[in-house]
Amino acid sequence: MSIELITILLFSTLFLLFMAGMPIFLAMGVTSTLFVLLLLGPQKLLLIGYNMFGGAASMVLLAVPLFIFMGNLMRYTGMAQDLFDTIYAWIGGVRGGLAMGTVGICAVFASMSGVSSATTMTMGVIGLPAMAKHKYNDQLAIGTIAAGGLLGLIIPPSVSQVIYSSISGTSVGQMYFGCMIPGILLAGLYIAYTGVRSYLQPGFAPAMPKEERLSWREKFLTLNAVVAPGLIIAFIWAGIYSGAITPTEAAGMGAMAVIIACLVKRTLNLAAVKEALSSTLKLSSMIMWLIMACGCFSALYQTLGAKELIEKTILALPVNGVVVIIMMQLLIFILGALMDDVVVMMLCIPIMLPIVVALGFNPLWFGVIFMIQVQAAWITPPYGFNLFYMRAIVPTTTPTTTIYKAVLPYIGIQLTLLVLVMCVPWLATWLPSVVIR
Amino acid sequence: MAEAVPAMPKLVRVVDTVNEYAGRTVSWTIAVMMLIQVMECILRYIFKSPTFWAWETNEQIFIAMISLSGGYALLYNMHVRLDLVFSRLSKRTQIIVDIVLFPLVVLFLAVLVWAGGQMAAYSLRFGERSDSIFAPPLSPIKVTFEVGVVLLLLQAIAHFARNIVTLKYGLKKA
Repeated sequence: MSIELITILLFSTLFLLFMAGMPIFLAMGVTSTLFVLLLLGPQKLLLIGYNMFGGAASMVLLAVPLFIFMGNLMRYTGMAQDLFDTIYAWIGGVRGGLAMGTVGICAVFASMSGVSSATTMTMGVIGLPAMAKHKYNDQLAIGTIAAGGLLGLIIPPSVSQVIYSSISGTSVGQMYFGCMIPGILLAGLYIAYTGVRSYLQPGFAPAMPKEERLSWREKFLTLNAVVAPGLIIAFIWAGIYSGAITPTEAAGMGAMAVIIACLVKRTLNLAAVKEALSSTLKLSSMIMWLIMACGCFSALYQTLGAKELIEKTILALPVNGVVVIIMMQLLIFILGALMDDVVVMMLCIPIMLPIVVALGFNPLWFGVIFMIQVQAAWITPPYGFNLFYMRAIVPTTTPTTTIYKAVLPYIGIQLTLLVLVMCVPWLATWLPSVVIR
Repeated sequence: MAEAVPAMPKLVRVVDTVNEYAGRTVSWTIAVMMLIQVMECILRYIFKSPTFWAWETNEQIFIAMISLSGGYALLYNMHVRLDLVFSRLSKRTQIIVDIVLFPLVVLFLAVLVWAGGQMAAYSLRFGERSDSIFAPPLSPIKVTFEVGVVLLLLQAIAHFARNIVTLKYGLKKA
C-alpha cells in the first residue's frame, strides 16, 4: 500500500474516532493497534508496548507535574487570592483598572507557574464576581481572564515550552528566554487594549467608587502579600539565569519555595496540599498519556514511511520560504482551533522543524512563534481549554456565544503579536543571544 | 426501583475504589520528586557532593507515577476528547457511541497489557539494567508499568459496565 493511501486511511480513522468523542489518547492507541494488525501483522504488536513505554521513558518531563503542583499550591493556599486583593487595592480606582490589574496578576502568576489552568480557574473564581460587582462589561471580564490566564503558557517558565523543547531538541533555557519578551509584550498589549477601550467607552469598565477605595496606609499594608511571590520569582530567575539550577530543577525548587512561604505565613494545611497533589496528578497524567500515545502513533507512522512523504512534500513546496512559513502558521492555527495543543505539537514539530531548518530559518524563532500559536489555540473556538474552563466558571445564564465573542479581540491581539514576532525576529532571538553564550 | 442491580455495579465500585486509592497514594510521589530535586541542589551547592542516582531515581518515580495514574485520570474523565460533535449528542446517544466503540478500546488496552507483560517478563528473566553508572534494574519499573496498564483496562471496563447499567436502568441511576 502506498504511503499516500496509508496516510489518508490513518488520519481518517483517527478523525472518525476523534469525532465519536473517544478520549484522544485512546483514539491514537486504537488507530496504532489497528494499523499494526492490518499492515505489519500480529507478530509486531509488541511495538505498541515498546512505543508507549518508550514514550514515557524518553519524555521524562519532571517539570510538568512540579510546575503544575506549584500553581495549584498557590491556588489552594490562598496565595493567589492575596495577590489579587493587593493589585485591586492599588489600581481599582482607574477606569478599567480591575481588568488591567487582572492581566498584571496573571503575568506575575505566569512567571511562577507553568500552566494556564490554575491561573484561569483561580482568577475566574476570584476575578469574575469582582468585576461583575463593579459593573464591568461581561465580555471584557470573560475575555480578560480567558486570555490573561494563558499568559502562563507564553511567559516562562512554561510547561508547553518544556514539551516543545523535548520534542524538537531545542534547549529549554533558550526557549525560556526567547519567549520572555513576546510574553511581556502580550501582557502589555492586553493592558493597553483594556485601558484605551475603557477610557474611550464610558460605562464599559467604570472606576471603583471613591468610598470603596482604601487609604494609603491600608494600601501599603496590602503590599505584604506581594513579598513572598516577589521573592520566589526573583529566586527562580536568579537560579536559572546564573545557571545554578536547571530549568527543571527550578520547578522543584519553586514548589518547595511556595511551601516554605506558606509555612511561614501559616496558610499551609494538609487538605490544601492533598487537593493540590491530586489535581496535579490528574492533569499530569492526562498530558503524559497523551504524549505517550502520540509518540506511539508517530513512531508507527514513521515506520510506515512518513519520511518519504515529507521529503516528497518538501520538494513539491513553493520555493519561497516565507510563503511556506505562512502556510505552516495557517495550518497550525487551524489545527489549534480544533485540537489539543499537545497533539498539535506532537503532529507538527517533527514534520515542520526539519523543513524550517532546511529553508534556513532560525529554529528558536520558529519555536517562539509556535508558542504564541499554542497559547492562541487555547482560546480559539471551537476547541480550547480556556473556553471550557470559562464555561465552567461563568454562570449558566450566560450563553456560550458570549464567551466566544468575548475572546475574539484577544485572539486578534495574539495574532498581532504573532505577525510582529514573525516580521521582527529579534524580539525572540535577542534575549537568548545575550543571556546564553 | 428495588429491582436488583446485582454483580455489575459492585465490580464498578471495587474498580473505582482501587483507582481512587491508587491515585491518592501515587499523588504523593510528586512531593517525593520535589524533595529529591531540592536535596540534590542542596547537596551540590552546600555540600559540594552531587549524587549520581538522584536524576535516575526521579526518572523512575516519574514513569511509575504516570503509569499508575492512567486509570485514576480515566475515573475522573480527565482524558481530553474532541467534543465538537460529541457534546451536541444526547446523553443516551453518547453512551451508545461509547458502548459501540468499547471493543476497540479493549483491543488496544489488551494488546498493551499483553505487550507490557512480555516486556516485564523479559526484564525479570534477564535482569535488564539501565545503561548508566547507577545502573538500576529496569524490572521494577516495567512491572509497575504493567500494573498501571491493567488498572487502566479495569477502569475502562468499569466505565463500560456503568454505561450498560445506565442504559438499562435509566439515566438517573448510577
